[in-house]
Amino acid sequence: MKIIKRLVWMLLALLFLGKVSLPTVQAFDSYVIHPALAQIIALHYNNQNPDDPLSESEIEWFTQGALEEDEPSIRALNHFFNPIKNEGLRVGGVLLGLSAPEWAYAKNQQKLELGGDCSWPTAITAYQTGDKAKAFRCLGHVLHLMEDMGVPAHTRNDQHLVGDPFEQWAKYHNPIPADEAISEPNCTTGKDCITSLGTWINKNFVSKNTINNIDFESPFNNATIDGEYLTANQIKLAVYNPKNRMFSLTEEIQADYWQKISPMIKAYGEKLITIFILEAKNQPMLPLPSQNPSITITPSDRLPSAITSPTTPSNPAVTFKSLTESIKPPELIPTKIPFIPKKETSPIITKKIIEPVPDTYIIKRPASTIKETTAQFVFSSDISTARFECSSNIFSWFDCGSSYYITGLEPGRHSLFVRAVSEVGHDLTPQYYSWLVDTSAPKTILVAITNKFSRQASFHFISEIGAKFDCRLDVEEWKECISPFKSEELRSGKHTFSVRARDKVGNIEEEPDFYHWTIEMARPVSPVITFPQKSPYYTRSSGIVISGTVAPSLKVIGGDNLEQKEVEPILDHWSYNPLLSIGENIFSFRAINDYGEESLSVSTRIIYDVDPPEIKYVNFPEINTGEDFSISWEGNDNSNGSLSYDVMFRSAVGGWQSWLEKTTQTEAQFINEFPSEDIFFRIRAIDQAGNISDWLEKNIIGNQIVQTDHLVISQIIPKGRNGSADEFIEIYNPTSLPISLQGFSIQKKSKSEIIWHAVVPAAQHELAVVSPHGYYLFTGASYSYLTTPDVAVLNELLHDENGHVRIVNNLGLIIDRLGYGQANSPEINAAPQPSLGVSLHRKAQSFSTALSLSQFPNLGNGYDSNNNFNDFVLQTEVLPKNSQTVF
Amino acid sequence: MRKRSMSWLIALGFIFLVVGAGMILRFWKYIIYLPPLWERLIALPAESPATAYEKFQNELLKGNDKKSLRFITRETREQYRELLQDPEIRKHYLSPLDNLTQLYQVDCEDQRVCRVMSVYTYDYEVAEAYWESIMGKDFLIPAGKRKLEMTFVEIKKGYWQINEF
Repeated sequence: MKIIKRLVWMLLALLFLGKVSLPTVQAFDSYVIHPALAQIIALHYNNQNPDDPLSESEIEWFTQGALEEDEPSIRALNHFFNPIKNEGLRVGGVLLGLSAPEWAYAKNQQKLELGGDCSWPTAITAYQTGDKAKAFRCLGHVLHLMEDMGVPAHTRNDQHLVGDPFEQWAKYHNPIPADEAISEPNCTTGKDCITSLGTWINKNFVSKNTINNIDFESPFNNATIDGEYLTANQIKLAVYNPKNRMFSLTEEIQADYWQKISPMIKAYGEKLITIFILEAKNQPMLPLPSQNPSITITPSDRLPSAITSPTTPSNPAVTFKSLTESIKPPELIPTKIPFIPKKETSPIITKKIIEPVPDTYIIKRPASTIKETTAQFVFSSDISTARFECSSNIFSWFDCGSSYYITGLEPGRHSLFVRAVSEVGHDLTPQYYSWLVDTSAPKTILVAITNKFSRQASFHFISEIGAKFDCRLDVEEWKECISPFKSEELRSGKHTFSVRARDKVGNIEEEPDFYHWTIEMARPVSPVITFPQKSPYYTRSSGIVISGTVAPSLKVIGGDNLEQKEVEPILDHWSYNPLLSIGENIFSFRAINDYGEESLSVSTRIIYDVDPPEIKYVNFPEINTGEDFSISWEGNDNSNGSLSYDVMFRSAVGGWQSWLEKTTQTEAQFINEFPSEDIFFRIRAIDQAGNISDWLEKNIIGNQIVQTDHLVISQIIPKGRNGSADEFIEIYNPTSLPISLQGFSIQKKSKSEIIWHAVVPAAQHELAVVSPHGYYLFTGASYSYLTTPDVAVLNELLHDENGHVRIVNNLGLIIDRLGYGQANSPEINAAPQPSLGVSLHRKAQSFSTALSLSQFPNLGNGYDSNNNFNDFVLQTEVLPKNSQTVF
Repeated sequence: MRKRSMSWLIALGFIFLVVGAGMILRFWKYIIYLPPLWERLIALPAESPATAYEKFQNELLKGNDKKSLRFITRETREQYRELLQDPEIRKHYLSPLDNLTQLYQVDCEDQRVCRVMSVYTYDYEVAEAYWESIMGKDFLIPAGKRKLEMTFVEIKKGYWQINEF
């Protein structure tokens, strides 16, 4: 029980799924093309039959019927007609339905089918019984079958489950049928018309899957090659696709098909209505012009030779036999309805014949899709006095004038019918125009395929149909692009891709879709500087060649901070020749790859220096004491680089000898091989750039001191550190013999005095002897220094300022004399006036200084040029010496 | 009691058989839709025509022909299976498409029985003119760039397949 239940449910589910997932085997779109064609055919019929036009209701029923025939979709299996085999759709050897001409008349089969019976006989009966609504609705059903014959796939057993390109093209473009039919329809019954049109289509056109199908030799067998087109009877059948070596039905081919097929559908449709009206009214069909009705079934005979195949199908006997049988005109049903004469006596009709109804022309109209919410139409007619009526649905008309301006249109599709109206009546074939108001900006959906380790990215984007796209990568300008968009190889870093859509009428997406991503590729390897090898590098030349190596395929960018330029490498080497500025020059170099990615910089510092360094001695002994000594020096260079030095020496009589070469030392110990000679030194500095200073020469005085041969006043202090009475007079024996002071007198005088006064009583030094190179010290009342005085007196020894002092020997000869300050009787020039605590100290040598006298006291104080100014220095390091002083 | 229940079962079975037979007689023509229904159930996802093509090409590149062909509609799959045996044609299909542009798309709107179809064009260049013989007819294929068309079908939402390319 359960198993049976499950089986039933599965069967029902399968049927349900099948129902909702059906692909199409329909022909023209039920909601677009079929009703549109039906309406156009009806209006065209009215134009050709102004005496007995279809009413608006009849057109509406007719249109409705054309729409309904595909519902439910299973009915569409009966919408095929293979004129070669005179049968309907056959799949896998199984006939799935009746042929369209048979189905049109298959009253009983239709009754059994979903959707019910709406066959030609039913339509006739309904008309004759006064049920015009049903009559015209069923006529619409039959018209649908005939319209389906306009689709080659329906006449060539092509089930096209995924859709037929011609149907889809027509649905999308919803084109207006062309005007000029290739030939007049030649049929006497509804079935005849369906058969005739289907046969013609079969012979002259191909469907996607039957271009060179062996079951349908025509038109392929008669086709010739015209460029890349397969052409037969001046119809482009297909275009050759060299990529897959197959034929394709491209959009161009579909448009060409429509131009040829649509007027034939229109003409046959109009004929179908004519036949229906006549048959329904039991009126005889007028004989076809110059045609034998028995052969009206061979449309190829009726079609111009340019369109029909000059050769019959490969099996003409079979084909023609079946066709002849299939489209015999039905016998006329004996009428019980009295003949209704035409309303030829109607005065209105008569007037119509004399003055036809006006034709309507649309002179100006909006484009098929616009973004404006206004539309302007201008109408014209062949009758100048005609006025114009407009309608959006052909049922309710209103005056709209020859210039009709519509405002406030809502977004969406709009339609307008217009007909010219004169006194005679209105145009029976109103002009129709449909257009779309599209004010909404399109929206793009962007899908990005990126990888941070890939330089390339691709982007897929879609938007509404017909939209075009503008793309922008980073900050570039917007450029028109298509999906997929593949970027060029990009450099590392952050990137942004933006895309915006523009629809057909120019609405632009306000907020473009965008995508950020980052590419992270390894930096290029930095170049290597092979010369100069060190940094900073010093040079005296204004030109230099900086050279280096770089990895292949990389460029080198380099220069100073003012100018960076590309350095073209040769193979993997590069060089750069800058002109240097005085001072520091910094150059940096970096490698750059084809994507503009840069390596880390390498730099070098080059010092351009043309100035020689300066040199001076820092510590240099003045006197050659006979011992080893050290000298030090100091160099200075504007480049701040390190210096090296050359140092040479010579004795007083020898030539220069190298002591130190290219040394960076600034101090050195000299091994003294010349203890008693003058030693001359010279030194020069060399900077990093090679600039060399001049030699700086200096000598040390040898220890051969030439001193006077008598006692001298070696040091006095008029005002010691304790003031005026803190005084001493020091005398020195520069000779190598002792000198007795017996009879000697130490005298003084002021600037203004004429008379010299003895300052030390002779008795106090009568017995004194001054040793060779020895000293003897006389001190004043307030003497404060540590050296013990040889003779201390209580009276003033010296005038504080501008005074004189002298030594007079036992013969009354003046041995030595000193004047200081503004003394008026010095030896030539007075020595400087010593200030408080400063002594006047006699030199040992002419070049002695206060410092050297302190440092080398053993040299004595025996220099006497008899010029006080030259012989004395002011001494702040006061150290009195007495007779006990030993050096 | 057991006999009674068995007879009910037999009666019900008979009724189902009759109803089943009737349904089969009534609806057998729907058999035409079973292969597309099956195809719909086993389809591979491809949210756009471009994606369908990309996936087709990727699988072809991997040499996974069987999977790549599942991005082609059932109706043309066999045809392309044969075509792809030709190394020259296979090479063409592995090449990137130049200037792929959507020409138009036919939507279903409120239609119940419908498939969305999208038509694309792309540039294809024949480097040198050559003669081609097809079904006994010789074609001179001129050199130059031309626009070729591709059609795609969405067999269900988010499941696009290539129909012709």
